[in-house]
Amino acid sequence: MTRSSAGRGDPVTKTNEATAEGPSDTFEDFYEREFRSVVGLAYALSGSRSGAEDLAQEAFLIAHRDWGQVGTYDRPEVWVRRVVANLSVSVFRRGVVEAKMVARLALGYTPALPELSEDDAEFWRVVRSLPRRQAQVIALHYLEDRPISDIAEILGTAEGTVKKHLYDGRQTLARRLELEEDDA
Amino acid sequence: MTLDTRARRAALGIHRAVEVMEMTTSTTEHRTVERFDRFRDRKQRNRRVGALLVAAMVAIVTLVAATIALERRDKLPVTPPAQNGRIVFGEQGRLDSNHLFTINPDGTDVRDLSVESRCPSWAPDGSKILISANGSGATVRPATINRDGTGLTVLDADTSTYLNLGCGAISPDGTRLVLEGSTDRELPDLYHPEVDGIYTVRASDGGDLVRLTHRGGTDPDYSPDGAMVVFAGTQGPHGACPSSFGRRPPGTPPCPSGSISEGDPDGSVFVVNADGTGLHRIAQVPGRVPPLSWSPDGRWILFETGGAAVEVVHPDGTGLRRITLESVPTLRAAAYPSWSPDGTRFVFVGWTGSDRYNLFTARMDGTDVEQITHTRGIYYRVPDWGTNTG
Repeated sequence: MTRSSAGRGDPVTKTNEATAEGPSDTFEDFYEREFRSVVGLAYALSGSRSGAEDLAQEAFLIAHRDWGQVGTYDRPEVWVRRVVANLSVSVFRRGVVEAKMVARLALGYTPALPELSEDDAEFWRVVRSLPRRQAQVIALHYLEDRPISDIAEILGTAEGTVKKHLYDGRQTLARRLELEEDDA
Repeated sequence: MTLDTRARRAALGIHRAVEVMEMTTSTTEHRTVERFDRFRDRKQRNRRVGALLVAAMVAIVTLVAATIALERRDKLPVTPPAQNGRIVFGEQGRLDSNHLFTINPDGTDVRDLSVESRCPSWAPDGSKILISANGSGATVRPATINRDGTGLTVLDADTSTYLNLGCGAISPDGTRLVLEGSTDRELPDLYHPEVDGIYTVRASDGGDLVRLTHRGGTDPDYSPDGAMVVFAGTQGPHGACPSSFGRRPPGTPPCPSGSISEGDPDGSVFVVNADGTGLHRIAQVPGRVPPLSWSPDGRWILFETGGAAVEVVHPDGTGLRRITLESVPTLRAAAYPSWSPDGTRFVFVGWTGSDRYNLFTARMDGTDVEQITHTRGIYYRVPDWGTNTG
């Protein structure tokens, strides 16, 4: 097993065979397949209607630049989610994207993503108010219905840690959204 | 409603939003990946524009910073770091050779110090005046006197019998003296590479002799921060005109006009670090150069250059600038310039023809020239502007 870095530097597994043979998927196929989900994840975690697509495109741009390597991973979709999850919660990155968007909006650009309903927007606002890791776990759990093992791989952390973040995040969400204790 | 129900519904809201986005954009693009291509192209274009903007900003900032630095560097100091006190000077003619006096900068209150010395130099705090005196034996040693000429203290703890320690200056912290070192033994050779150089000694007693340079020189002066020393270079034996001390063999042709005798200042100005490292020449001005005067802010060195003008140069040898004194039409020469403690003016000996030598002061740009003594037949020498007003 070899290691490579992704996002903030944690390892993402890939196969030796894949390395020898090169990417098994074209970037275009990978992009067409994953783009929508990745934009959704960026939207949930950044809350930016105008910037979510750019955050997702940014993650794919990094993948495209290193596709010779990223394409050889067993699950490049895990890698690109880790990148976008980290970009979306990065205050600096979000700030840059927002600043660019403000400039583009001033030039008449209209975001392709529609507004969320007030209820849904409120829910994701509370999610984003959680600690960074808890917010990422909650988003991956509910938005993508990912099992604990997947979330752990995406975030490059132990399954036990993911369970702890999920438990704590749900507790806090239930309290802040004034849902019954049992619900959590 | 349970948390799970609420969360699933919110997730569905995100999925629907993405679907709407897809429907909106699919009308203009056949494939989703075309959006990526557009994003990538825009990113590359923005990066190029950004790089150009950054390069332009760096160039502008560098240009502005360099301009400001040059302006500040070339601007003569005007910030007063110390008050202007009395001027000490020597004169020949009224009494005897190199008799010392002090005078107010406006020419009033001349006081006789009843001391002889060819190179008086105020202590930076104005408490003492450094002079050269005869030490024990036949050697020259530094000495200090009070501002009124009393309290002569010869600093002769160094007992080298071959070495004369002559003119110099007191370090800004008052702990060391920097002095010209030479010997007059074994005439007729005036220049002795084994001895001639710049030395420092302890200010309290003249002990702890340290040789800074093996290059002969005169009139050393500390920089205001005490980190460097400036001095005037002297002519070595190579290429020198034989000395004028009556040692030329009979029949030797006279020295050509402008030639320099061995041991005399050769027009070079050197700077060396106070620990003896980093010796380098910063100017070469034919004619008389010493004494040298460091500006109170440490950015300029002032010296005479011949004619009705003086010159300043940065300690690194750059920015050589001539300051002309044209407002006094009769002024033919300005000698022995010395910076005022507040950095705004300098004092010099001006020659206005025949036997008329007097003390003058002027602004550092050469304007506002004031004659502060009005005598004939008295030869003023080596004024040094101190901080002591008492």
